[in-house]
Amino acid sequence: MLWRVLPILLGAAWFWACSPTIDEVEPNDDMAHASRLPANGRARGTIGRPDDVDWYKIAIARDSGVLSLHVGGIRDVDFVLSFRDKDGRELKRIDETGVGGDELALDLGVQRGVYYAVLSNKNPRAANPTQKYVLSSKLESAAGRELEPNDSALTATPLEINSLTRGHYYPATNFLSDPPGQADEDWFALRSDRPGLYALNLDLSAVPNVDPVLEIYDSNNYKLKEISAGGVGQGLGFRDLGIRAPAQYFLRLRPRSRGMSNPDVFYELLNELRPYDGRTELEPNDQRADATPFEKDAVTGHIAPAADVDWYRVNAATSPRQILRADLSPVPGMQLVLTVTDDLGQPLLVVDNGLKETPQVLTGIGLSNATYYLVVSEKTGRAANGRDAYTLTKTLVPWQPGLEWEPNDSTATAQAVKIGESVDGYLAPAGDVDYYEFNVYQKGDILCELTGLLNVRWSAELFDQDNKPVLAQQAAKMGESLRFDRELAPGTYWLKLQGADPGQNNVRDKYTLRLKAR
Amino acid sequence: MKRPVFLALAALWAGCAAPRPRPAAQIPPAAAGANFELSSYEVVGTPEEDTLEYVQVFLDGRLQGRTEVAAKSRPKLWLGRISEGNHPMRFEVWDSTGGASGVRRPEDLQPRERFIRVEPGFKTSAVLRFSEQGRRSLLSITYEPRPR
Repeated sequence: MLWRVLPILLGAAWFWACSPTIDEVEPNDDMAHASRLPANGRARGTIGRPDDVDWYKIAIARDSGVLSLHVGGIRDVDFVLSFRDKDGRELKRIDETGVGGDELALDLGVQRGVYYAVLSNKNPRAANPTQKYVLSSKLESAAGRELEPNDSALTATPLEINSLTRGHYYPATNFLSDPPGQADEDWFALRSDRPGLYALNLDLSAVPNVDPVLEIYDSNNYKLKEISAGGVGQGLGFRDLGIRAPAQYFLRLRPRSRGMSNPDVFYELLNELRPYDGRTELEPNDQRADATPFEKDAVTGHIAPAADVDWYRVNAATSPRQILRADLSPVPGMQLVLTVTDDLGQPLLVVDNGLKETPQVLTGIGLSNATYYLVVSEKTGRAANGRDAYTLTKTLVPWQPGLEWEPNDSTATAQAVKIGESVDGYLAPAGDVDYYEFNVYQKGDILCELTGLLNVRWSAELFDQDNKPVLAQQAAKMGESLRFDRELAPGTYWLKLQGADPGQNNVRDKYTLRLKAR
Repeated sequence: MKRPVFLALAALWAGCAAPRPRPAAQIPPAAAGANFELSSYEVVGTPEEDTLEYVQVFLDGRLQGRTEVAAKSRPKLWLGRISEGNHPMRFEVWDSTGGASGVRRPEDLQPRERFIRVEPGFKTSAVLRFSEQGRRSLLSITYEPRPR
């Protein structure tokens, strides 16, 4: 292993050894008397007295670059390293260590021109006027790098579309923030000028000692999403942010708490922007107004971060009566719930079979000439999975007489059926209750036949038009059919069908209800 | 020569095929001492949707009368005297914006026929409420003692 890294170490040592080294020229206590520090070089100096300040002038001779500065600690001295622009305006202040510690400034974005590095001491009792410190600087390409200071949307580093960007969770503290001393954060700007609808994917690598939080803002500074890795040393991912270009978005990356930083390991932020193909959700779709149009037969999405809710708009305005069926695939570790709402977002039907890692099946709901929404959520509100997608498929079929029309869960929404006719329906999802309404025009014996359903023990109740119970019947066991008759006077009746236990349901098989007069 | 004949035939065909408002129904006058009251209204989303309509009342398949023509959102009344007993009643909605005689709404937007019991000594009140652009109807029945 050593023989592999040895050439690199030797090369680095050679580079540092051969980089130009200069000595400070006192007095260099202000901008006008700054000593020169090569962009790739080193300077030696001393802290002659506790309030000594050493200014170094760095000339950048390329259009853009990333500069890093390092000062090695010396006895008694508590360094503060400040980075300033050509006018002396402070851009970054580093004070991560105490007496005798090194200070390191990373990822300083520079352009052609003059900058200043300023060293000062915080220890009023420092008395080490002879020991020399070494301040070194290194200039690299700016391609694919964060550019400090990028601590706000205004100073955000522009992201190149479909590329990787590297940066550091460093320093831990931003002394120039308002108020000072807040955790350092990195802002990135993502701009898409080509008109169209796009989906943005983001992946952030793991960095030891850091629990990252990524926030997404629009150009109005509205926070669209906040994604947490969920633990120290973990990366995170985010899929399918809807981008309506031309548009500009901002990413704010920060550690969860102030003490977290890592100057040694890069984070890598990968962005992928692709034209939207209608096959994925478009975040944010956390509310009705932002629902993703569900126009194809299937769409994929992720429940991330925790408590994420995904809304999909189903337009059934073109046909008077249709039946919507939907399947929601399972996701590892999750219990998904599928809800159907009306055009105002009021829930019409909740599909929740109560089981983890199993599909949720909407066996059918009647839609008529309106917009509806399918809402995917996770039951606990605490689980998230940015890796494994769910797939939501839908079919819209024209309603025909003889098919159940959900919702028919109450007498107010009971489905009309005539004596002598039959209806095919599903007892699903779990907890489903189906009401049927029929009129008896002549006194007679009415026979009710109900086919058996796997996993369901039928329970049937008959009510008259005054809501008084007329009879109640239950199948002998699960899977058995139910058949009963009763002499009924003329009137309107409601037949209530359900499982003997609310958990009993069957998303696979239809039942048939038949009413006959004898 | 053929062209005018064709045009005349086409006009005749178009006249026959075009939906025409039905002639106004014969409305029996409301009976004195009414023991049944229908109040019908519709929940509308915008003023533009609040067009004119009326409701016809059928009992045992026979037309009994109709409400006044009024905006959907306004409760429209019909009062009648109905023989005591349990009767199948049907309320038929007609859009009347195009003319007083109106156009009957499609069958799937009509409330279903239901039995309504008329009790001796009670006034039966039926409230018919339409919502969701007429797709949904809710019928509620109440009884109140009627002075003899």
